Amino acid sequence: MSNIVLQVEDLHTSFFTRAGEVKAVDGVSFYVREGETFGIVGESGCGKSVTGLSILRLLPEPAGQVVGGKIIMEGKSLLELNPKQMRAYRGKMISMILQDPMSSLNPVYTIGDQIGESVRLHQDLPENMVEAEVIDALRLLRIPSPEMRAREYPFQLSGGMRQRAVGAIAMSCRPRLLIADEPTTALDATIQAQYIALFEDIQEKTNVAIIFITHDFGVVARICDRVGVMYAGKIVETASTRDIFKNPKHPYTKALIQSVPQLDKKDERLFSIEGQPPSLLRLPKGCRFYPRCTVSMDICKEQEPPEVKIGENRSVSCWRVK
Amino acid sequence: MARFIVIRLLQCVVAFFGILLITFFLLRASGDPSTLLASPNFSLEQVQALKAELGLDKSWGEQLGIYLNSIVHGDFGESLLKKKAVGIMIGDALPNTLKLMVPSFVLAMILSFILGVLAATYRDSWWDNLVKFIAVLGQALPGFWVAIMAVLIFSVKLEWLPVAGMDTPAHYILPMGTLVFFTLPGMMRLVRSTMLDVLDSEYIKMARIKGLPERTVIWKHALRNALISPLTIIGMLLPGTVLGAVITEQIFNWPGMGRLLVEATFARDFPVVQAVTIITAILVLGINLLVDISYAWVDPQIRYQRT
Repeated sequence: MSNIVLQVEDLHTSFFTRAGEVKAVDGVSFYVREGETFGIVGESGCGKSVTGLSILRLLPEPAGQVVGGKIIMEGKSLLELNPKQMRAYRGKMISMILQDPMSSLNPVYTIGDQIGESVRLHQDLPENMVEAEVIDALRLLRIPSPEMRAREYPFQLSGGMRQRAVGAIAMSCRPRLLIADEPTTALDATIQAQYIALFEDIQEKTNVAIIFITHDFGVVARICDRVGVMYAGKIVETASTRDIFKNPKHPYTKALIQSVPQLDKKDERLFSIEGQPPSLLRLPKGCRFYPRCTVSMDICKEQEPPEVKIGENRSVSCWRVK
Repeated sequence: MARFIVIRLLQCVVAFFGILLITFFLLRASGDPSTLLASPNFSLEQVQALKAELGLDKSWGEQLGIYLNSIVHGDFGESLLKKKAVGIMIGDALPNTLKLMVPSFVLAMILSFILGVLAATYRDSWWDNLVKFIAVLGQALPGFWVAIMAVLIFSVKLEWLPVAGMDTPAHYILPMGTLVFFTLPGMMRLVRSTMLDVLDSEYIKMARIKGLPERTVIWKHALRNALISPLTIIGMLLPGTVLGAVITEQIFNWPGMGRLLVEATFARDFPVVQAVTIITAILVLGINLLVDISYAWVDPQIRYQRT
């Protein structure tokens, strides 16, 4: 098996607001290997994006803070780095793609400038080599006529091209880890499929580890090797993509998979989960999913379920699973 | 881009003639200067002779024709009050005004950008609160009152600075301070709020994700985007600054265009008022044109438009 690029252990991230401490990420552990894609799936507000920002240490300070846990990247503890050392990791070792391609590019600089900026910052190259790297990054994202595109401004590109340009910025220094935060949500379905295929290709070429944050199980099925299902700040189930679709264990995972629309089933209504996720300010005492769970027991209300390991690569936190 | 500049230039020419005509007729509608110039014991014939001498006995249309003709030849006429060539009077006053206005305006802009950007960067810090406080105070207090209070405190009570005049560098401090106070608060607030909007955007997050140091994120990625709306306001602030100069020059007895304008207006000294208005209009229109062109530098989207 290939090396583990990033290991997150028992990560706790909180936002300190006037209303109190919001535990956005509350004890999350996972790892991702070289050339592997780990998906983090969950509803909006479950802490997926905050997990991504915690790894890069780009939480909106001073409100957001990592309050516990470890983030280890190839032997280095990221939480112990000083700000300057951390900046050297950003863009070079770890990169991130944000959701909205329209607004992720700075409107007043050319695509080439924005890619070249990363290259200049992290690689000590003469100016003519920088340009070659820029064109190379655009090629990696399969942007047609890269020499021309490099001289264009974001408003001159289509939505799909902008998202690729963002990808080119992120991949320009060939990072070891890429965090993709719902990168396909703003794209239409055909472009989305192309974009995902593109990422598989990039991963094959560069062996980058990818953390793919999404709310869409359909996307998970296409790109992820393993998945963590996140609910109210916790990962409730981790498994390989195949196992999770074939045999979901946690009631929340089951419900999520049921709510994916399927073309071959002719049900009148799409399944949806009753109720709302709990407020992160006042979490229930027992299992977080208990109020919405259809198979809950008495103990679920009283005590949080422990994480149960099933085999090598699988774990579930549910009292029903022994 | 060339077409854009040509169109704006043509608009400036139209605006210029509009201003010229309005000034010309408004002045004449305000009354007759000969009644102010004539002594009370002048006979009717003497007043008529005075009018004929000044050319005021002709119809407005004729007067306009004569005026336009001489302007085209670079002749602004002669002051009715001082019997001096208006061109020479302007030549004396304009440099004095520019010596006061240009450094004040530049200083106000530099300060607003630095203070506004820092306030937005350290949002809700004591520094930000101080900037907000100064901004509100500055917009609430009338400039002329602040100027008079400053004279009272620094010149009269403490005797640190001269009351009026323009002989030494120390003479510049209070009038410049007053002019800066006219423009700084509003501008600073605008820079702060546009900067806050920009700092909240995804491309700023992206710049941080790249690993850029905070000063590059702020001064390169954010500021360039936050320039656009303050630039618009610079064009709109300018007439206000001219007005500010009129008040300031009056308070500090500064021998510039503002004071010239006030004196000439009270005396209905038509040629002087017209000339001052024309020169001011040219300055304001010219700077507005420069502002429009600088948009194109800041925002590539404007540069690439075909209009």
